[in-house]
Amino acid sequence: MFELNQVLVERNNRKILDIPNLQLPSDQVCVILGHNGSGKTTLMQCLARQLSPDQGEITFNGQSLSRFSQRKLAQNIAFLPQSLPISSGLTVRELVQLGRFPWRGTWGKLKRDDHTIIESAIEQVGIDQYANQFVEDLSGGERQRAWIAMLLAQESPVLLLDEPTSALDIAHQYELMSLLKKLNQETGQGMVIILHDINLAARYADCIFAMKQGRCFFQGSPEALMQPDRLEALYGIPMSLIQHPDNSSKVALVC
Amino acid sequence: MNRSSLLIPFVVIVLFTLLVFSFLQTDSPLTFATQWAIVQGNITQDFDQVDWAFSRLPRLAMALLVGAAMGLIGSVIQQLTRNPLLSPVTLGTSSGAWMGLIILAIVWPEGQAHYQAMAAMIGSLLALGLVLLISGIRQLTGLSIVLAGMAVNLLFGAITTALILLNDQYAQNLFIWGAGDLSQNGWQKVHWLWPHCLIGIAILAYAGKPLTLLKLGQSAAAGRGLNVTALFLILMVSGLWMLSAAITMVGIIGFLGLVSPNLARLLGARTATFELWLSSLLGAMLLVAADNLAILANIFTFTLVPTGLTTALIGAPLLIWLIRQRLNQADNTVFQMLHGKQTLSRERIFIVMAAFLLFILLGVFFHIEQNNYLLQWPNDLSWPLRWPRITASIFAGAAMAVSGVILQRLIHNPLASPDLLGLSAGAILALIGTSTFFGIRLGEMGSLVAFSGSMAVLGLLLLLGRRFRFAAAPMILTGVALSALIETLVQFVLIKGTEDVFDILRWLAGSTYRVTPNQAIILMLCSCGLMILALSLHRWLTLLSMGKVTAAARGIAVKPAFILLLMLAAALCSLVTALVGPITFVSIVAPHLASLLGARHVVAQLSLSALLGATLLQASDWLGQTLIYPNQLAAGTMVAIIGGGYFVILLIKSKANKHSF
Repeated sequence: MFELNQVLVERNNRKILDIPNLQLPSDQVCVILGHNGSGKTTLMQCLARQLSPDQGEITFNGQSLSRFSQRKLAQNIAFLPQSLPISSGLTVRELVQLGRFPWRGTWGKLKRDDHTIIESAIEQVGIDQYANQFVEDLSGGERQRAWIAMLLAQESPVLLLDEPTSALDIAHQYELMSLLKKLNQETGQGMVIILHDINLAARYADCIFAMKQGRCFFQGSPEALMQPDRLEALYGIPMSLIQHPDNSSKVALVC
Repeated sequence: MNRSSLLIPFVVIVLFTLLVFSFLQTDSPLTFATQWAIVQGNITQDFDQVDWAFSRLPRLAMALLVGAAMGLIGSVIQQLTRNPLLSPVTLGTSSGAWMGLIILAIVWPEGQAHYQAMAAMIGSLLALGLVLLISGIRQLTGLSIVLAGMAVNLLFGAITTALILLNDQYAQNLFIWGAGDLSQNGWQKVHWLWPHCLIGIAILAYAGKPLTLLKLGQSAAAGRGLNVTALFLILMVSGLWMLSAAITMVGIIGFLGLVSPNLARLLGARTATFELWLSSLLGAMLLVAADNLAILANIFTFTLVPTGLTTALIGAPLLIWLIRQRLNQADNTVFQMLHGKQTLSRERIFIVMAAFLLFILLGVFFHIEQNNYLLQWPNDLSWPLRWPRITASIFAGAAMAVSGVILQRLIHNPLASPDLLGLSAGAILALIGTSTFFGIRLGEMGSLVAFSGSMAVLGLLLLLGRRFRFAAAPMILTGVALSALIETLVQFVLIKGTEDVFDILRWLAGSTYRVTPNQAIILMLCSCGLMILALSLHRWLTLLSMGKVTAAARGIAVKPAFILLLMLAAALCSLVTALVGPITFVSIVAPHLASLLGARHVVAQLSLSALLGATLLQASDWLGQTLIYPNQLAAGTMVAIIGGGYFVILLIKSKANKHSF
């Protein structure tokens, strides 16, 4: 459970993030939505302690986030930034192996358990046939999945993902989200994911946190958000909802 | 134009007048009336008047001319390339011109009467061509061209040093030139120089418009009908013409071309023409101020203080201050190496090991006696001399290579190396400084002195880089400024202690033959220890080379890890510098060679680079001994020439494979 208290981030006299009070569950699939510039990435960077808020405090499971050592933090929270760095010269397996660093440290030798974890992570995302290839030789979608595998190998109870689907085609987007949902249900690992697509979010999220201009706009279940007036207020564009032809969910469309 | 935009030029002009005025008054007993009379042409036989008329006035004229020319050239270069880090020095053109002059002096001394400017010009064009070849015409706005320029600087500097060492009779005179000297004996030099600068007037008048168009970018400007290549050629050639003329007259004066345009922009010069004018004016002012300082220092310390030194003393802090004001580089760069063949095959490793062993064996067994080449067991006389030398070469090469790998991965740039960041310069200054001021011979210096010198520079870099969270460009630029300043200081110290000049020059060239057995063993043990430590931290290096975000997200405490690794690289570099002398290029070339041979993983790259570095330095040492027997070229110089040359070839080839950093 993430708790934010009076958190404020300011740049050039503009409030990029302004959260007086927020509780984000860390055992569900929680999606953060919002327009460009709404502060989503800043919020996630604060949660991952990549950035320190100018004011306010964030606690994770009751303990202040700033008290964690870097390794302890990585053991609890695995963060994937929006733009993936080019991993020079690493094969997929070597990349996933890096996910074991928080547990093995600088000099610890990898044990058999670690290798099992690594292999199962690779298998879970479905890139076993590429395991020995160089990461930069893979396509965008495959590379994304390799990085997700690394996060899985990190075995932290919470995953923070900043727009993991933006480089993926539509099939892979849904595939990835359903994988993450499945993981959450099987292992209990919580996810906080930033997404752009409202329908993708509504389909897989357990709870949604919508931001507008650095502030909280909405927090609650997807169903509660999927109302035309709420959506229009959030995105500033008229939207309407239709019934999905194959199941009972609603689909949002731009008018 | 409103009030505020007129204020700055007004202030600048007032300052300028003040500076010129005070320059003319420094240490001069003449009254204003007398001075005014002299300017009008009434000069008596009085010594002070003659001195003022024929030494001080032309010196002022020279300072104004050269300063304005450098400011103008710097602004032209920076506007052409839209790169605020470029200047005649960082582009390598100054050392090219310098090399041209030295080659002319050695090869054709009589030609010096008429062809000096031409020789300097050819040298600078060569340097420019090389830099462009390395970094590519399309990469003009990035960091890589600055680093290519510094690499060319090092290469040409090494060649020039080698030439000077082998031809000592020319050295003393040229030394002063290396540091920039404005003293005049009459008006001849000014008379010679000013026609060369006339082209500057044409530039000031006409270059503004095309340069404004160029602000849109190369392709957009071409799309509006500008012939970008022609503009580039015309402006660069004219600029280099002025530069060569200036260098021929006064030697190398750095920082002016780098600082003046940046300062002009900081003061609000937005249009191309205004920047050209303001930059020229500021360049002239800076040089007059620096020269004034040099004259004052001359008076107070009774030694000849070269103006190049005082320019550096003013320019380096100014540059560092400018960096803090202007650069806002986000750390989005990630380490990218030259890509070679995919895998490191067994055969490749064997070949490298074989080369390694070959050069060791050659070092041990190869003898030259009375013009005969022999292979025989080393006798009791030569063995005690050979083994320390071979040991020193091997471990110095390996240590520098490992240092290079660490820095390249930390700073995310394939051209980052301890020499370019000023770490070697710090060690050099500490060693030379204590040697000159405390009279201890260089050979007996403790590594601790060198280490503290490197650490001081490192500390300064970290302090200054903290503001940018250690992003690449500001750190490298700060390192460049620091090392340029330190090199000028070293030149000054050399001028002070003339008896040891050649000793120190030889040491500066990086020589393994002075290494005593004790030193060789210390080098071996310490470098092995440090290298093993580096190998053990390979996970840190792997994660840090993917960017600070990724490293932190995996649990690395980024700041302490970064600083520790930097200290490790500095320790390796200062160890070598203390015991052997500065060794350049190995730290740049060996990591790339290793990567081209297929070593991509950190452990593989560290190990293979160490092996390659050892081989490279030992080969250079051996070649330096045998190629021009009975003369010797120091290993450091040799490796800079071989390594530099090979490196240039590597880069050109890799550019052909469409890679850019």
